[in-house]
Amino acid sequence: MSLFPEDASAVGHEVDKLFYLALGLTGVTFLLVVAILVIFLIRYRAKAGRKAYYTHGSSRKAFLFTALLALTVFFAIDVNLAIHDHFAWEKTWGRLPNGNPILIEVMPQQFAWNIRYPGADGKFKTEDDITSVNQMHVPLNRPVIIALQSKDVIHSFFLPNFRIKQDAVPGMVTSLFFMATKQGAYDIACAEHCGLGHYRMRGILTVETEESFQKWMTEQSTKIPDTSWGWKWGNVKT
Amino acid sequence: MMESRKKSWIRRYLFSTDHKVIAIQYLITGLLFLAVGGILAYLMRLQLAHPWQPIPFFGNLFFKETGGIIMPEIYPKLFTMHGGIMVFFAVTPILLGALGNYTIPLEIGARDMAFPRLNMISYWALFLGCIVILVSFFVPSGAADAGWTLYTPLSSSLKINPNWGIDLFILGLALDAVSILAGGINYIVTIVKLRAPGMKLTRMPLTTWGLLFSAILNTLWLPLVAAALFMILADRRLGAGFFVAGPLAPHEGGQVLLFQHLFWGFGHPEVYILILPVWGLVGDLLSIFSRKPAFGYLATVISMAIITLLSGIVWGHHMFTSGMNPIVGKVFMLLTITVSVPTAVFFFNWLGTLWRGRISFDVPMLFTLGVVFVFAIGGLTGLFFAVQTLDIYFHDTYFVVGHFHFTLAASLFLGLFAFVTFWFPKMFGRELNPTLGKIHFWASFILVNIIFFSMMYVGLHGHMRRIADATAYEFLKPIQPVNIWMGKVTGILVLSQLLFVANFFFSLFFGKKAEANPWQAASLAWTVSSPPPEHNFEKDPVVYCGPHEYGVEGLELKTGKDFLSQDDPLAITFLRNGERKAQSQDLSFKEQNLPWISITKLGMWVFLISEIMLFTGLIGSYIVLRLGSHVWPNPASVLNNAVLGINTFILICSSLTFALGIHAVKEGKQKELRRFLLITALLGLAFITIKLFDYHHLWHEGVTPAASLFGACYYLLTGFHGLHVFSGVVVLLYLWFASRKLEFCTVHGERIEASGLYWHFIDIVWVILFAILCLV
Repeated sequence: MSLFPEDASAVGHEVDKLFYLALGLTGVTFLLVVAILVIFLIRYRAKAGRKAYYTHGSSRKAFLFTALLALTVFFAIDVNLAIHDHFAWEKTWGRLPNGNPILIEVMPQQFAWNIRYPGADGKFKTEDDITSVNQMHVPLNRPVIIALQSKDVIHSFFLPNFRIKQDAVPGMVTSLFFMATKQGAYDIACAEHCGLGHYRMRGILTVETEESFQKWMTEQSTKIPDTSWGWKWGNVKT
Repeated sequence: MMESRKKSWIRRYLFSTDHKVIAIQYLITGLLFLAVGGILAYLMRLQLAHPWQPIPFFGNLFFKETGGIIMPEIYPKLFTMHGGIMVFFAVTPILLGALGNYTIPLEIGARDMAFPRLNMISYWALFLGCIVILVSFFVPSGAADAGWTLYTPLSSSLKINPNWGIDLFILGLALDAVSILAGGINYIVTIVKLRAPGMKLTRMPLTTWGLLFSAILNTLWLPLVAAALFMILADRRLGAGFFVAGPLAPHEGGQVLLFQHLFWGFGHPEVYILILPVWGLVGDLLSIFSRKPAFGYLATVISMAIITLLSGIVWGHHMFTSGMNPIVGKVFMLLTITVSVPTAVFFFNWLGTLWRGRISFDVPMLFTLGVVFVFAIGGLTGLFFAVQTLDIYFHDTYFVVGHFHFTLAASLFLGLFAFVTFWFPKMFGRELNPTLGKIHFWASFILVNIIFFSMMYVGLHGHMRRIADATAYEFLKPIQPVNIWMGKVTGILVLSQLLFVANFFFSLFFGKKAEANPWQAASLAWTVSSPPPEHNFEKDPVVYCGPHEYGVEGLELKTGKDFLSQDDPLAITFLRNGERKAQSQDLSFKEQNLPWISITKLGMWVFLISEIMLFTGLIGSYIVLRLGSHVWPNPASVLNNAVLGINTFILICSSLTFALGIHAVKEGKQKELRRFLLITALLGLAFITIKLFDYHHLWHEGVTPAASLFGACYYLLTGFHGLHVFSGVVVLLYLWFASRKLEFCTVHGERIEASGLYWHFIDIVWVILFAILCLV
């Protein structure tokens, strides 16, 4: 069994790779510390005839050793991770993949996800919008941009299979993007405690082919959209 | 000793001013709440293991009306109160309250804390807070349920959450904050001023250093969260809407994320507030049980200081998913990963202390080594959350929960047992049973590791925190067996703690009588009897060397001991850095350190720093809110600036009369002092009266907290200031009454001066408020 849930996105493996790098670096450090600890505990345990070596560890040599260790930790672990993070960030959050993006507005409320597509005119907050609750459909291999704004308390839009998450805050618009590469139904989860129904605030993200996506959109466009919410698309990075 | 016999039972054990008794009160309170928090955790694990199934045993006790089932509205109360209780009412009382109170005076050679009565009040403020927290479980609709982080607007909107539990939770935290801040004043002043002759700062045990840094952090950052909590109360009960935006907001301009900045501005330092004393304790105990000086003492202290500094500027890593600017996030990331450098120095020095030592594995040492192990995991996993891209996946999952349970829960849990098992003989004059202690250690150590490691494992799989039922999600179904497994292990952990309870009480009454120095430790506390006499030291000790002189070469041949007590004059001959008796020994005990500032005044300054931080929190929030608001009115058109101008004049005059009063003290004119105190108090009262008329008028004009952000800010800032003026007037009137009998001109003059500092501070705050609220 893999450590992570199935990766269904174009860049999820970047996050996993970064994790394994961090795991490797910290794991080696941890094993080193524990190995030294155990060796010292066995080797220097109190027994007849053992005398402790009197030192304050304040010598020049100890100081240089400390400084060297600090530098090693800083460059080998900290800076190393920061640089790798920079490149992973560029892919997951910085650069939108090529392709004609799907725009979706999401306004979570206690305890459901209100979802809005712009409809045929490509504009939000108009009569031909397509709205649904908890059901989000996206096509394969096309970038999806989601703008979030909460109706009540803070929720967090979490796609575990895509390794991304973004808080939905009342009074401000936040956003994220992703691109699905595997067909299937995936969980949309709320990651921020939002009240007693937090645990069951589940949506379904259906990833399908372009044709079936368009078919679904056409089906949905016959329904009367929910006009109680929505906002003009703007101040969201595209 | 004779004196103590005369004291009644109540004065000796209940309302005692003896730091040792107060420490034990803190310890017992903390341990009781540790049990409460532990049971709450167990209930959560049972619910997660078997969602919506009746809970065995506890179910009949607590959830009878639902047949032992935890309902969805109950579960959030469990994790909210578990977090709040563990952090503020279990670990804080034990590791700051008990460890700080018990060890600081004994280790630095003081007879008691600098302000023993304030110390007593600290404990009773906590006690009241505890009562409020316990009561909150029984009010209609029950305890707080917004998470211990109290994220707004879930916590602050009355429409979403009308439940009184949150108000009581905040009240309980406020009382605890009073306790912590008053305790912090005592710790800082005692350490700065009351060190015995020869006890240089660099001769203090590392535990004392940890407690000092922790008190400094509390003084600086706790007031910030206090300001935020009071703003939540204003949001809830006055409809102020500081932290509410969107459809729920009473008016425009509220900012949801502002609360998170204020909360984590304190919340992140809080981690170090709790762990710093444990780091110190680890340093000291490794040295004692390896019979070697603490390796790189100075480097450890400097690392602690660097972490203390860094802790205040890394809070943003809690907010990577909040919608923060990614560039700001990057800065926070870089600052955060820098914390690993001083942390690495700790580990280096801890291993260095063990290196070529003579290590014995007594129970306190086992717990100390346990801390080193779990903190290595906790510290290293911390790196994952500093890295932005990773953190966004892990944020609010069990990977975070596992991580901070390694750093906070496991380290502090094992750390507090290291503290209790090490200091038990000194505290109670009896020894704990070592066999029971060892079994308790191994059970606790292994089980907490299993539980928290499992938490990280399910977290990798994306398991969100604070959900009541993982089986509601398709992607979490494969890991449900781990939740079941954690439920079982937690049950064993809870049971295994009965070993400690049994050992504690059995040893308290039937344990072997403890010697003065059962661990052969070198610090001052172990030079006096177990338990120590009422004022600790029969004769004020003189200190000749550092706290870790173990295994000194050639010593054992001469004295039969392998260590030098800090008050052992032999240090002069045996150590290069030993010093001859300081000449300052002749000076009176309290005037040793920093003779240019009195204890009272220093205490007042520490208090004023926390007051400054409180107003920084309030005024800073005001500035942020005002800059974000689109409809801010012209203050001159709303407020009656003429009246407020007169009020400003009155307050400035009162500063002048107080200054004249202090002048009278220096001249030795008690009568004149009394006159000026009364005039100052009356001016203060005049200010408050005019203020009340001003409020009355504004309210009728329709300027209320619920009507506009301007109104909310105006009442918040001036209201807080008004309360300070009121408490100032109370102090003035008290001094005025007291000055009929007490000689302020000769003996107690510094009390007048310290009160003067407070009064001037209040006046300065008003002038600032007047300028930024009414004029600009």
